Amino acid sequence: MTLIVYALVVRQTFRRFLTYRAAILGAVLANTVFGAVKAFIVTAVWRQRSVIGGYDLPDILTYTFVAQALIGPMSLLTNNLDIPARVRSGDIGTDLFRPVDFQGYWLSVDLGRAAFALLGRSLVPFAVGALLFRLRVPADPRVWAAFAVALTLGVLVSFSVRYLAAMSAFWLLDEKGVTGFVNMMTTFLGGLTVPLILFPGWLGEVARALPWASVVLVPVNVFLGKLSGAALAGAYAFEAAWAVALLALGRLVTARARQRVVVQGG
Amino acid sequence: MDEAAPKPPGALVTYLASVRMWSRSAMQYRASLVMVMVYGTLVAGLELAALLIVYGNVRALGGFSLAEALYLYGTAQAAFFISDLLFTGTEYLGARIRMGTFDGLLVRPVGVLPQVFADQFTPRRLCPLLSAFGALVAGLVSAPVHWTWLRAFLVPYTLVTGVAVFGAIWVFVGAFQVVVTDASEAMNVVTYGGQYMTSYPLSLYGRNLMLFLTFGVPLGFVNWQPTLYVLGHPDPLGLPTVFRFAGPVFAAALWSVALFAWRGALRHHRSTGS
Repeated sequence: MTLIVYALVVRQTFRRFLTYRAAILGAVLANTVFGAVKAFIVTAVWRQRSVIGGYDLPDILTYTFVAQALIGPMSLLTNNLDIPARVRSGDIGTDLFRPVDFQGYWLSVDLGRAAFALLGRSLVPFAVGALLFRLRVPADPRVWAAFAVALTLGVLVSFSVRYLAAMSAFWLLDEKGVTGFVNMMTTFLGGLTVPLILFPGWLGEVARALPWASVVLVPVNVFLGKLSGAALAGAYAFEAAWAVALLALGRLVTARARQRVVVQGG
Repeated sequence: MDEAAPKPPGALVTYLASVRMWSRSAMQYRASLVMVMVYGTLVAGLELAALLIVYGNVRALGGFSLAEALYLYGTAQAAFFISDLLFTGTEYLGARIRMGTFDGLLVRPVGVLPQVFADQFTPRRLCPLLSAFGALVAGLVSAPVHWTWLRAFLVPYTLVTGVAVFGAIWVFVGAFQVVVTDASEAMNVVTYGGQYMTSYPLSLYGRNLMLFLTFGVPLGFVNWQPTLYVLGHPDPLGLPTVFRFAGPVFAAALWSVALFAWRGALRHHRSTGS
């Protein structure tokens, strides 16, 4: 029964985002153009060194446009959760009062947003990239299925990180410092600013072990067919382990926040 | 009534008064301001780190060594963020029109554009200048430049023309937002996209795009053309030397078109009456 409620929240959020068509058009345009500029830069790098970190030129071009396509679904630049605004306005009282789990409710909202972004913001940048540059698009439907699983786990990790940042609004008058800092980590360690495989030595190793490796790098590696069998299972386990750990931390924080909150009148 | 109506204040006075007002407003939440300033500095620093990471893998990009790339990057970022400091208020116009608060600026007996330029000004916009000038100075010190008086003059000259080109683009952003209030992100392609493109050698983008970035959207005059002269690189497009110094001409042309578009947009504007 509660699952139906969550599914309805996912659907309603999806429909809510449908109303912002003009803004989405602008975002799609920006994501596409930035993708093209980045593609020119990596092309110049790979012209001089044919393989870096196991990636050849079509691999890195594919990485570039998948990363641009995932800016929306993985929310790589912004926090995108309304929790802080609702804490300030007091509407959060309604959310806490709902007969569904608070964290589960916001996860459903975010899944609806991500699903919409995947359809509305991801397809065009990737398609344009595939037209202009030589990308590696999987032909095997099993790779696409494996990619869908990696994406879903990636969205869970992305949500759980952003949720922790947004929940800071229960303690801070202005959470923008915290959410901004976390967004910065996501953009950089998620491998959007520079592909993670260009990171030197230990910095690269650390970045590939952090949760943000789940939002772009792992899905791209699956998309490129670099992972199969035990390696694929290992990648899923990596994403799932971070998702479970961070969601559990989120539950702990939610319980604390619930004790703190004082809702005025009504 | 023999008393003459008071003379309306000039554009600069209006602009500075607005900047002062918004700065005081931003200072009200001091702890919050400090935090966003720290992270604003870090974000810009990470963009510079990105350039260093790329150069960790190659010795040159588009014929530019790391030192030369740092200079090019520094001029683009400094020009962009100075223009951001001065003009970026136009970005908030769409939101203002949707909220109905644009009318508040229109009814004041002072110029509209200076108020719009200063809109939502915050000292945070100073932060990215640290890494911009850091890269610029590092590039100047380490690049093998054959210094002449002309080359030395071209360094500040590059910043001024760069700010002028980006400034005209911010005016276009304002005009665009008055007409299309809810698709503001589309203009990010020329503003933040322009900042990104000019931070790397334009030679990376191929001949056609370079021609477009010279004669279409003249971002090539932000820093690329004068930098070719300072660093002693030939122009990959083979344009005559006079183009290295043509920035002000293109900037002036861009400003006249931008101001024309701005006036057209203002005439187009219909208040909701709120």
